[in-house]
Amino acid sequence: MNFIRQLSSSCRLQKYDKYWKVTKYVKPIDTKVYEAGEVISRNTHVPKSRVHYPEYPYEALMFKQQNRGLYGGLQKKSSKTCSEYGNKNLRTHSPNIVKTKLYSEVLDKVFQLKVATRVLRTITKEGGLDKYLLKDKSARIKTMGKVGWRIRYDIMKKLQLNELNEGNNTPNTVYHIDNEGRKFIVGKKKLMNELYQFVKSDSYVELSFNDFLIKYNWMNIDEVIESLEKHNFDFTKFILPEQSLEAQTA
Amino acid sequence: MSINHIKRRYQKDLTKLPKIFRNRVVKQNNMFTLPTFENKLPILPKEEYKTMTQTGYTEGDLVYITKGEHKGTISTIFRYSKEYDGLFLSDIIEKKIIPKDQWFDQQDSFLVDYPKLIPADSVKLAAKDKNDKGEDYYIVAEEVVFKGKYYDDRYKKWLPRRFVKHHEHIEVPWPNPPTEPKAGELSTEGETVFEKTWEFQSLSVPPFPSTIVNELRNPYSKHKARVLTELQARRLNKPTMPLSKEQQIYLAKKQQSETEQPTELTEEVQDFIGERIANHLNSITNPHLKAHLDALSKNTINH
Repeated sequence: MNFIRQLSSSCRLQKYDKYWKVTKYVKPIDTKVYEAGEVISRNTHVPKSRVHYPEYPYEALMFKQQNRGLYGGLQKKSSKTCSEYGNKNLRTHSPNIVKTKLYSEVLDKVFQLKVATRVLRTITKEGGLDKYLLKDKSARIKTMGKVGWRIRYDIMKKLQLNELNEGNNTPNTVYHIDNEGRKFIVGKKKLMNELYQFVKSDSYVELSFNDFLIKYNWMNIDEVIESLEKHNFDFTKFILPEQSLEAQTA
Repeated sequence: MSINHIKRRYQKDLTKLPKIFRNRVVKQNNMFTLPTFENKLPILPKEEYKTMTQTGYTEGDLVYITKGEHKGTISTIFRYSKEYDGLFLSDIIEKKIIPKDQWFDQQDSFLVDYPKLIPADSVKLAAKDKNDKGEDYYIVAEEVVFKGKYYDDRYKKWLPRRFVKHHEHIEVPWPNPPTEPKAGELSTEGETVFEKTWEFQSLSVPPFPSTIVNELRNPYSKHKARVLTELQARRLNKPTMPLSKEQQIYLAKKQQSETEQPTELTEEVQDFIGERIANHLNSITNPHLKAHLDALSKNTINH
């Protein structure tokens, strides 16, 4: 029987897409990496502020409330009602959606979400919201929706941060490790405050902190560290001392 | 908003109507006009009006009529009507009836000579020339091509040169304009343009303030290329979803397998394939097939 099933599956010309309802109206996302000095068309929209979350490749354009909760790819269905006289009318069946609070262990946070009851079953089967969202199967990514995608990003970032702080028993948390392996216990914001003093003294005209941010806030943390190094900045205040690490290992 | 602009709302614009309704409106308009003054050519929308460089002829040119009752006659253009894309020719005249209350001075008949409107598609450009004996002859151009430009002092503007298509050694010059172009209230004379009224005082000091560039040239012009600044580029680049550990392991393995893939056959594999082929050939018992294979092996022609 299995042999016949294999044959039949191999003979199928087109693969059946289980989530065709999701992928049917999908709009392609912009994956291009833009660089300064590049000429762009007039139609490209430049966002007014930095975008905090990655674009979701399966954002729903139909039945848009599924972008606001964990719907598991469920959409409205339609059927006909039939009167005694035989008149047929279309009606819709909306999926069973409930408003619940779901707890994420990694983020230590409670999310109030609109969730389909079918998805609630899957979450309990998987063993929690984190495990539901962190699964890599393409089916899960197609059905988790825009909200799920964003929570997944937060969880992944938090996991990355946890990885940086493995074996660190000091009260300070490590936010960044640079190319030389230095562990930074401050974020970009505090380093920018330090950089401001140097840029201010270098500039010929008076430079307010706001103007400084407008000019240089696009830099990422690595670039800020690099420009501070050019001014021979002493990082000892902002780095996790190596002695403490050695003491821990001993 | 001017009164002329407001007036347009209440005027009937034929070009805005769909084509099937246009005939009805034309019929309504012609209801009270005399039958001989009816115009059957359709009115063109403003976008389809043609200039003299698009039609290939202008007032004063000779044309040859190719269709209708006046087919074969050559006449000069009296007026070109861009609204109807038609021509009034100097010799092509028809009789029209005018009621007595509309008679003009010194009129003594109901019939009046009136130029006939001829559609542009039934007309070709013609030109007159003299041969070696000094006799006049006409040429008719099926189509006209334009090449190069020259400043025509009669028209006071730049005009392209006209040639007969596929006979491009024959140039048809533009005719004299019917009326000389007059200077308007705002126009400047040619000589005053070239009078020098100002000159540079110093090369080190710029003559204009630096902010004047934005006043003279539109900084938001749609023809200006949009070049990304560093800030804009960073804003356009969205963050990407970090890879999970399983995905990282999978991609690393995939990359490794791609690099390890052999591109040439090793000696072991070559021996193995050769052995398999030899075994197969030795196992053949059919004498005809053997003879055929022998003949094939002796073949030295390179394909």
